[in-house]
Amino acid sequence: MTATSLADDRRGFLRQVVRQAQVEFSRLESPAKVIDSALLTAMGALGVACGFSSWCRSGAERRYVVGRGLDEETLLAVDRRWDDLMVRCFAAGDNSPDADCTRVRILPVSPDLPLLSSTPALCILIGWRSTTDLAGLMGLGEGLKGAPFGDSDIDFLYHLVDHMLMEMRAMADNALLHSLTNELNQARQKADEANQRNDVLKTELEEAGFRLSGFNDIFHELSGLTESTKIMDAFLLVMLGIFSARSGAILYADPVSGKTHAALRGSGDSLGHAGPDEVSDLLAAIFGSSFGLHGETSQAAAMPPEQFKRLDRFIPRIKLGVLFQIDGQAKGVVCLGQRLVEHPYEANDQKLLQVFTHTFLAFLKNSRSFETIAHLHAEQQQKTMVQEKTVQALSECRLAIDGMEKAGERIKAAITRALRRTTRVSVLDIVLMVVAGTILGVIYNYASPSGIPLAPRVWQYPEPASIDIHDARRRMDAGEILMVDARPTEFFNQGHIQGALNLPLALFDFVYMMRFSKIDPQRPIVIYGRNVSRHYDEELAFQLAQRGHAHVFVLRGGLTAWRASGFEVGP
Amino acid sequence: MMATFKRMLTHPLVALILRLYLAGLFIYAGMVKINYTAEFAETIASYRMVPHWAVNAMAVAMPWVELVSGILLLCGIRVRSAIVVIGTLLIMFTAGIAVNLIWKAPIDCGCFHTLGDSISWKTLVRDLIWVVMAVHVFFYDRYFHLEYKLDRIAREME
Repeated sequence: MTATSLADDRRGFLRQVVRQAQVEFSRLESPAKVIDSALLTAMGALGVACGFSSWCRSGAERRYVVGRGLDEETLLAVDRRWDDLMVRCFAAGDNSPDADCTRVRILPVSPDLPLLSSTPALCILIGWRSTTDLAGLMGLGEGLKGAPFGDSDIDFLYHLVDHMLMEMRAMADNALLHSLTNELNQARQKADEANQRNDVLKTELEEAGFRLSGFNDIFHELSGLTESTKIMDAFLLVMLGIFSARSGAILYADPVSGKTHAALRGSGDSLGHAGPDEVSDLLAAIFGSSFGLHGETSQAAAMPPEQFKRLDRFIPRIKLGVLFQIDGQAKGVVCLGQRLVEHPYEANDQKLLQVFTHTFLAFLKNSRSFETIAHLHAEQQQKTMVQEKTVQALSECRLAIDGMEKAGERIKAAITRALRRTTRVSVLDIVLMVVAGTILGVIYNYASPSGIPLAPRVWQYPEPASIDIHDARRRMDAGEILMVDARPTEFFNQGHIQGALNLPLALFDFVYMMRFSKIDPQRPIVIYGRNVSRHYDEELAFQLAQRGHAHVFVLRGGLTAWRASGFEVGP
Repeated sequence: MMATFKRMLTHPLVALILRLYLAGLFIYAGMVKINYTAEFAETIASYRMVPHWAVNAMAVAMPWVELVSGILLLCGIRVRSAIVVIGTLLIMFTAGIAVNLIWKAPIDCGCFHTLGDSISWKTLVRDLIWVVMAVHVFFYDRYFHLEYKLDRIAREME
C-alpha cells in the first residue's frame, strides 16, 4: 500500500466522517450539542486527546464552552480571552474572496499566542463565524501519534467546521423561524383577540347606535309636547316602533293632581279598556305588592315578570315591563307585548326600555312641571281677576266715598255759607222774605172772600168821555152841567171847585142815594179828582154810567189844570 | 259813666228786648191788615206815593212780608236780613208820614187800624223811634238765635 493510497483512504475516511457528522448534526437539537458533537468527531477522526469548542451569539456576553481532556482553568482562560482569540483568527483576510476563509480560519498554535501557551497540548485553533450572528472557537491538541496535521486533516476540519457552521446556521434559522412562528402565532392570537374585542365593540356600537336612534326618535317625537297624556301616547308609539312590539301600554296615575291616564296601543282586539279608578287601583296593587320604587326621586326600574299577569286584561302576553315614578308621587308602568318579528326580545332590551323610560321620565316630569305651572298660572290669573274685581270695587267704593265726601263737603260748605249769612245781611234773604210774603199774600188774597184784584179796576172799565176845562167852565156857568168831586171827603174839604158836589167812592152808594138819585140822568155830569195812586174820576164815571147817567165826562187835567187856568178853588 | 251807660245801652239783652218788641209789633200789624186788604189799599193810596197800578199788589203783599219778617225776627233766624226788611218798611212809613205831614194831607196812618188814626208829628216820632230800635237790633243783637244752635250742630258735624 502506497503513501498515496493511504492518503486517499484517509481522505475518503475523513469525507465519510464528515458526511456522518453531517447526518449526526442534523439529528441534534441545540447548538451546544452540535459543537460538542463536532469536537468529539474531530478529536475522534484526528486522534486528538484534548480540545475545546465554544460558541456564542454576536453581542451576547454569555458563551458556551465545552472541553475534552482540558482542565477547567483552560476553559475559563478561553472564555476570558475569547475576544483576543477571535481578533487573532480574523485579523487578516477579512477581505478575502474566499467565503470559507471568511467563515472559518485555522491557525496553528504558536508562541505568539501567549494565551494558549499555558496549554501546550493545544496545537491548532479554529475560529469560525457566520455572516450573521454566530461565532465560535475550537481548539485541538496534538494527535495521539504526535504527528502534525496534514492538509487532509486541515481540509477535514474546514469541512467539518463548515458543516457544523451550516448546521448551526440552519439551527439558528430554525430557531429564528420558530420564534417568528411563535410571534406570528402570538400576533394571530392577538389579532383574534382584537377581532373579538372589535366584535364586542361593534356590538356595543350597534347598541349605542340603536340607543342613539331610539333617543333621537324619542326626542323628535316628544320635544314640543307639553301635555303629559300626549307625551305618553307619543312615547308608547316610539317604543312600539323601536322594539317592533305588537302591543304596548302605559298606565299613569298622579295622586297629587288626581290625573290618571291609560295609553294602550297594539293590534286592537285584544286590548282592554281602563277607567281612571281601575288604573289607580291597579298601580297601587303593583307598587304595593312585592316591588316598589322608594325615595322622592324620579326613577325607573324593571318590572318583575310575576307582575305581568296583573296587566293581562289590557295587554296580553307582556314580555317587557318597566315601573317608574316621578318625584316619589306620580307612578306608572310601561309594558310591551310580543314582538312583530320572529326572534324574541334580547337580554339588553329590558335595560334599553329602562334607559328610554328614564329619558321619557324627564319629558314627563317637565310636562308635569308645565302642568303645575299652568295650573298655578290659571289660579294666579283667577286670583288676579278676583283682585282686579276687588280693586275695581274698591275703586268704585272709593269714588263713591269721594263723591260722598265731596257731597258732605259741599253740604258743610253750604251750611257754613248759610251760617255765615246769618251774621250778615243777605240780599238773597231779603228777596226771599219779600217773595215769600208776596206769594203767601197772593195765595191768601185769592182764597179770601175779602180779596181784591191785584190790578187797578179802572183798567177793566171803558174809557170815559172827557171835557176841556174851559168848555166845562162855560157850561158850568151856564148851569148845564153838574161838577162832581170824586176824592175822599177829607181832600174835598181841603179845597175843591166852587159849586162842585163831593161823591167819594168809599161812600158812593150812601151819598148817591142821598144827593144824586133825584138828578136827571140826562144832565151832563163832569167829574174830577185823581192822584198818582188813584183815578177816582174814572172809577166814579163808571159807577155813574152804571146808574144810568148818559152824559158823564171826566175833567181833562183835573183840579190841577183847573187851578192852573186861574179858576177859583175854594174850601 | 258814659262808657257804662253806652255799654248798658248797647247790651245785647237790650237789643234782644227791642228785637222781640219789634217782632211782636210787626206780627201784630201784619195780622191786623191781612183781613182788610181793600181798606189797606185805600190807606196806601191815600199816601199818594205809590203808582196806582201797584197799590193793590202792595196791599196784598205787605202785611205778609211784615208777618214773615216779624216771625223770623222773633225766632232769631236771619235776624239781620229781617231787621233790614223791617227797618226799610219803617223808613218807608216814616218817609210817607213825613211827606204827607208836609203836604198836610188829612189821612189816616193805617199802621194798625185802617180807620181813625190820623197821621201826626207824634206818629212820625213814634216811627222814628222804631227805626232807631231797628238800628240797635241790627248792630247789637246776638242772643237767642235759633240759628246759633244750628251753627253749633254744624260745627260738631265738622
